[in-house]
Parts: sequence; structure tokens; C-alpha cells
Amino acid sequence: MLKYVVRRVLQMIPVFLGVTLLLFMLRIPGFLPGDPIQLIVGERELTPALRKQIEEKNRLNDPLPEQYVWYVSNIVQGDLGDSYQKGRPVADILTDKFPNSFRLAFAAIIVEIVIGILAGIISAVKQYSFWDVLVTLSTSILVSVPVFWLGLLLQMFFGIQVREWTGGAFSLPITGMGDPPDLAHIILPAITLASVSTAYVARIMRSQMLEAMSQDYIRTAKAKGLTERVVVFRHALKNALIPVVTFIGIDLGFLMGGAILTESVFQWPGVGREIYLAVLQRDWPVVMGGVIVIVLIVMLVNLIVDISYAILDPRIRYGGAAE
Amino acid sequence: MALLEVNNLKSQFFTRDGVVKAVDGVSFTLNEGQTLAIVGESGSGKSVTALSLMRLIQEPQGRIVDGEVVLSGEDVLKLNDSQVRAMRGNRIAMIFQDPMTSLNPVFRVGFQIGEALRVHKGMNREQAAQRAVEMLELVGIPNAAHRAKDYPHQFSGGMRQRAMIAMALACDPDILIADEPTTALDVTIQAQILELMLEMQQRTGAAIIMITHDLGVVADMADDVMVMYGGRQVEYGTADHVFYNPLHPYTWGLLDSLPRHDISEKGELCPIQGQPPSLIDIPSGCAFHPRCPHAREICRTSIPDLKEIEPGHRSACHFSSDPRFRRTIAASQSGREVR
Repeated sequence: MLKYVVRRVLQMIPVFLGVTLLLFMLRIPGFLPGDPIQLIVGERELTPALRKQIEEKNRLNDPLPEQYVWYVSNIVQGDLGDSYQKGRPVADILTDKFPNSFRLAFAAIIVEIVIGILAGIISAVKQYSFWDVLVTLSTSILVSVPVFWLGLLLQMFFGIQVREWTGGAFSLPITGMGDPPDLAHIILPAITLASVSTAYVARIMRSQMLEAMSQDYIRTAKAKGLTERVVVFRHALKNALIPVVTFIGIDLGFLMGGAILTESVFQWPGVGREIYLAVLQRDWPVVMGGVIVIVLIVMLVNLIVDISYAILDPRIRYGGAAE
Repeated sequence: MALLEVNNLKSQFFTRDGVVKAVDGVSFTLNEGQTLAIVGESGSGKSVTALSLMRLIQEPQGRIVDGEVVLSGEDVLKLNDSQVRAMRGNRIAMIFQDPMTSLNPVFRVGFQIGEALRVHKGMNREQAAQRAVEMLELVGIPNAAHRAKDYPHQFSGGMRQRAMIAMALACDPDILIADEPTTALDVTIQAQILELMLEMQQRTGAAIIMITHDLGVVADMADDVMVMYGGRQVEYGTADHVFYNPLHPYTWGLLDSLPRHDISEKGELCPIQGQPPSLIDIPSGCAFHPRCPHAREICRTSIPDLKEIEPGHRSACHFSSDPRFRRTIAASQSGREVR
């Protein structure tokens, strides 16, 4: 098991280097339109002395390989550069914003696990019942609804309509997100962010449960005289959960990486929105730093998923050495 | 009193294409310690008969529509759900055809054997684990204490079937139903598994219902033989009766399609012509008549009853009691030219 983990960690290194290489290209002068030095200088007057100072600070005149080594070694030491627009270190900006993205991701993943898995199980166990039809139909709709539109719809309904109907007694807040936002503010963004994934989880869960229930080992379990509950929740569920856990895990990585659409619609002060704003302002260090941290998080979460996968499914333990 | 008495069992599946009459009026008795073989082609209703005894037919498509299954004086078909569960794995246990898929891949073998013990014998986890190891030892798994902690994928096919037998016999059932237990295994392993089953039967005194299409297995193990065709019984008697004095043309056909080393000349096999019938649309009269070389008009119009031709030997053919029609073992052995 330890050997497996070590090997998976080592495998992350080439992925990390590949990503940094791609991102490094963003800072090669002339690769992207616009003069980065002009962007850094902003409204100030660009004197030759100032240009030279900026070029030296960012090592823009070194040969490219040297620049790359300098760039990667800075990243490894936690230095992601300074924001063009704000002049602050990118690492500080991200440190400010990530907790908010984590909060949102955490809330969304709970919605996804609880509602998605439950709906999938009910749907499979009571196949063709009213609940099954309801789940199948609503998940079909959810996966095809654009997230930003669903977000706006929820804002209109819970923020405006419900308030009118109840005469202002009840509504969910849709403006005035503080930093960090409070619990009431998280409900709608979390539902919005979780919507598509919850629908997928319910569908995967349903099909996996149905498949597991038709397996020979279920007949064996019934022939032993086990109760229906034990057969479904022990023998079928553990098999059916394997792909669902994989999906949720990978999704968790993406959710933590900041949800650009959801965060923008709800003005949620997270990394996704920060990256979105940085792209609009061509603030490349923020974009690059944000992406690198997101990649690291996704890789880390994937590693955790793979390890938990090995715990659930004994067949892939020891990296496939068995069998 | 017989241990198990099955009367006029009828199981049907209600599908979009029509009603599948998988088991259509099967009756037999089984005494303690006895071995009954149920023989027939694929789709003759053997497995559904076995699953019906365990009440394991997939509802709501499948239903037992008629009959009695009397186990020690109690009709299994009238039990409620919890009574059925108390019977399954405890009084009647079952092993299945494919040991590769019959064990749950995500639980340890020892745990899966112990489950039935915890349900039926009220053992706790440690006691059940302990007993599971003993059962694995009994069925000839070397280093059982260690192997009980393995997962099914770490077992070979033969070992998995041994584990299935250990699982089935853990609660010391009265009846062990084996649904083609050797079909998915290598020939050498097949012999080992059959030997193990006989040994375990002697040790535990369990009655065995062996479902198979392998007549070699039947000859080795069975006391009684029931031949099924198209969901119905066509012949029922002792193994000697059925092998040496078969009364039904279908049984003749089965025996003739078997390779035999005692017939050296004309060593060709004589397969039964045609295909097994669809259980949705069973031929009128005798289900075998479209394939029977001896069929006459009456076979098309009237379903033959299962009649006792000689003591303890029954056959469902209109002509079984006609001495001119009957073929003896002498005729069968002197060659296949009777046709």
C-alpha cells in the first residue's frame, strides 16, 4: 500500500512540470498580445530606466531555459510572483480567496453526496416507481440546464419571488456576500454548484445499483438467508459505490479549484471569481498562480480518491499486482 | 416421511413476449441423505426448479403459480418472508454454476462464509470467522486460517467452488442444491469437486439435488434421476433404471449423444436433431414430438401423463408401456442401428 502511494506521488512530478511548462509560455514576451511591461506599469510613465528595472526583476532578458528554471524554483518555494494590477504577491491573494472556495466546495459536495447517493439508491431499489420516475426526469433536466442560468433562476425565485409571496418574512439572501460570507449566503451558490454533479451522482448510483443487484453474488447472498436490507446495503451498495466515489472525488477536485461560473453569478469572493477578474484585466501572474494551485489541489484529491478506491475495491490494491 | 416432497410445481415468467412456462408440473420426493439428479438440456427448466425450491425466482416477472414444496411437513410456498429467510442457507443451501461471479468481489472469503452462521446460528463475528476457517479446512483449502482473509479474486476457480461449498454447508443444511457446480471448471478440477461433494455428503448426511447436463456426473453420484424437457418431467426413476432401462425417447437420445468407450465400432455420436423448444410456445401434445423419431399422431394432440411403468420408474411417453416399443439396455449396447 505504501509502495503504491509513493509511486502515485512520484507520478505527480511530471504532470506538475508539464503544467508549469504550459503556463510558463504565458509569460514569454510576444506570446500573448499586449506588452506585459506596459501592463505592470499601468498609468505610470514608462521610462527606459523603469523598463530595465522591471525586466531585471522578472528576468525577462535571460535565455528561456534559465527563465523557466527560475520560474519553477520560485513556484516550489511558494513565490507565485506579484499581481500586475494590485502589486500584491499572488500567493497572498490566493490565500485570501481559497478558504471561500473551499467553503463553497465543501457545501456543494455535501449536497452532492447526500442528495445524489440517496436519490440514486431510492431510484434503483424502487425501480419504475413514482420516485424513480421523478429522479430520472429531474436529473435529465438538471444535467442539461446551464449553471449560470440555474443560478439566476434560483436568485429570482428564492431571493425575490418568495420574499414577495411571504410579504418580506422569508427569503434567501442574494446580495451582500461578506468575506467570508455567512451560512445563509452559501445555500443558493452551493445548490447551484452542486446541481449538475448531484444529477450525475444520482444517475451513476442508480445504474450501478441496478447492475450490482443483477449480479450472481446477490443471488448467493439471498440464498444465504440474508435480509433484503443486508443484501442491498452491504452486498450491492459496496460494489455500486466504487464508481460513485471515483466520480465524487474527481468532482471534489474540480469544485475546490473554484467554480468560475457559480462564483461570478453570485459574486462569491473565491478563487474562481478572482481568476475570472484577472483574465479580464490580463493580470497573468494571478491567472498562472491560480491555475497552478488548482492543478496541485486536483492532483492531491485524485491521489486521495485512488487510495480510497483501493480500500473499497480489493482487486486493485497493490497497484494490480494481484490476479 | 420424505425430507422434501414437491408436488405439481409450476413456475412461470411473465415477459413482454408472453408467459414462459419454465417449470410446468414437476413432482418428486427426496429422502434424507439421498442424491437426486435433475438432467436436461439448457432451457429445460432445471435451474428454475431449483430456484423455486429456494423461493429465489426473480419477482415480479417470475412467479410460482401452483404446487407444493413440502420440507419436513411444511409447505415452503406458504412461508412468509422471514420464515423463507430462516430456511435459506440454513435448511436448504445452494451452490451455483459460476464460482467466478457467485462470490462478492469486495468481501473477504471468510467473512462471506461466516455471514450465514451469524444470521442462522447467532454467532458473533469472531465465532463465525473461526468456524469459517474450519469449514475452509474441511473443504481442503490449504493454510485456511490465512486464506480466509483473502478476497475471491485471490482464489483459483476450483478453490472458489470449494469456498462456495464451504459456505453452503456452513450451517449444516438438510438439502444442498448444486446447480451445475462443475460446468465452469476444468475437467481435472471437476472430478475433485464432485469427490469433495460426495465426501461432504457422507460427513454431513445432507441430501443433494444435483442439476446437470453431464450424464457422467449423474452416473457417478445420483441415486435417483429426473429427466426434464420443455419444463416438464419426462422420466423419473433410479439411476439404474434411467441408465440401463431408459423408457423415454428423449432419454435414449441423451444417452446416445454421449461419447462411450464401451462401444468401439461405429463410434459416431448421435446427437438429438433439432432445437430445444421455446418455453413461451411449447409444442402441442408431447413437447418432444417435433424431435422424436418415433412420434405419431397422438403425440401431437395429447400430452402424455407421467405413468409408473415399473415400480419406482415413471415415464411420460404414450408408448412407454408398449413392450415392442421399449428398448432394453441390450439393444442399446449392441448398437445404435435400432433407428
